[in-house]
Amino acid sequence: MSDFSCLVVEDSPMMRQLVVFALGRLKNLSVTEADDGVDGLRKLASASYDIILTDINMPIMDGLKLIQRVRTDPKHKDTPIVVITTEGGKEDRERALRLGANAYITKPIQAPKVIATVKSLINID
Amino acid sequence: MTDPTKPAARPSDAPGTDLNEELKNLTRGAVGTRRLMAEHKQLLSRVGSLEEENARLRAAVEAEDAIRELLGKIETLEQEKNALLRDFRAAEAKTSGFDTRFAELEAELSQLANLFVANNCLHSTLSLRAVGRRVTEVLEQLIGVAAYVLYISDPQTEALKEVSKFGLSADEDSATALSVAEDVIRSGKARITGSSDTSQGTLANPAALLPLVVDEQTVGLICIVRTLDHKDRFATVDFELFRLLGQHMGLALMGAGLYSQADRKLPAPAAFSGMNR
Repeated sequence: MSDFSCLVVEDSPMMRQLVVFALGRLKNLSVTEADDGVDGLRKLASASYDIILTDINMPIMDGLKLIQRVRTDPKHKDTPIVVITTEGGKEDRERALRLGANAYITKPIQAPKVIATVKSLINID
Repeated sequence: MTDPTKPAARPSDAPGTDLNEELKNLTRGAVGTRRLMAEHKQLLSRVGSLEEENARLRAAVEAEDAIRELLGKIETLEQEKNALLRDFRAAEAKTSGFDTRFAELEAELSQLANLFVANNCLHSTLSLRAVGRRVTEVLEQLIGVAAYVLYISDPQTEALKEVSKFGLSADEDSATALSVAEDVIRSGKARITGSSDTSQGTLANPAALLPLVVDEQTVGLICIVRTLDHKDRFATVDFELFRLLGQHMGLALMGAGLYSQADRKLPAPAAFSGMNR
C-alpha cells in the first residue's frame, strides 16, 4: 500500500497520462485521476489526498475555482496544490498563488520538474 | 740517682709534651676530616647537579625523539589525508558524472513518455474529429503551441486546404502560410525555425512547417505559427514530436478519413485474408 496519495485534475486524457507517468516514478505515491474541477471535488469529498495537481483551463469547473473550494474546506485546506497550466503569464501565476496554490508549473511539462515539485511539497522519496 | 724499680721514662710519656702532641694530631685530624667532609659535601652537590643536568639532557633528547616521531606521524597523516582527498575528489567526480547521466536519462525517459503518449493518442481513435482534437492537444500541451493551422491535401486537386486552425487572430489569413511552404510541401522535409524567438512567429514567418507524409507523398501540412509566450525556442523532444507528427499524423488522418467514408464500418475478416502471403 502507498504511503502518499495524489489527485490529478486534468481534462486532457493525454496530459493526465503524462502526469500520471511522471508521478509513477515516485514509488510510494498512489494517483487518482479526475476529469475536471467538479469530478475533483467529488473525489475530494470521499477521500483525503496528500497533494493535488490541477490544470486551470477545464470545462464545468476550472482549476482556480477548485483551489478556492479546496482552501475553504476545513478537511483539505492544508493540502498542497500544484497548478499545471499553459497560462504562463505573471498575473495568472500570481492569481493562482494568491488563491492558495503552492506551486505553478507551465506546460509543456517535463517529468523531472513535476517530480521535483511534488517532492518539495510532501516528504516523499 | 735513678730509681731502678721504675721504668725508664720514654720521651713521649713525658707529661704535657705527649698530650699536647696528641691533641695537635687530633686537631689536625679533625680539621682534615672537616675538610674532607666539606669536600665530600661539595662533591655530592656536584654529583647531584650533574645528575640533574644529565636528566635534563636525557629528557631533551627524549623530547626531540618524541617530536621527531610526532613529525613523522604528521607527515604520514598528511599523506593519508592527501590520498583520501584524492579518492574523495575522484569519487565526487564520478558521482557528479552519475548525477549528470541520471538527469540525462530522466530527461530521455520523459521525452520517450511524451512520444509514447502522443503516438498512443493519435492512433487510439478512428474519428476524424477526435484525431483533430488530439493533434491540437499534442501541439498545445506537449509542444506549447499558441497558434497553428492544419492543411490536408484535396485528392481531386492535390492542393492543400485548411481543415483546422487554432490561436489565430481575425486579421491573420491562413492561406499566407501556403505560399511560404511550397518547398516544404514539394520536398516533404520540415522547416523549423532555428535561432529566432518561436513565440513571435507569424503566418509569413512561422515557427515550424511540418509536412504530413504517407508513402513518401505529402498529404498535409501543419503550420506552427508561434509558440506560447513563455516558450521562446523548441526543445529536443519537440523535434522528435515533429518527426512523429509528420510520420504518424498523416496515417491517423487517412485512417480516420477512410473509416468515415466507409460509414464507420470495420473491415470484414475477409479483408485480411491475404495478410500471410
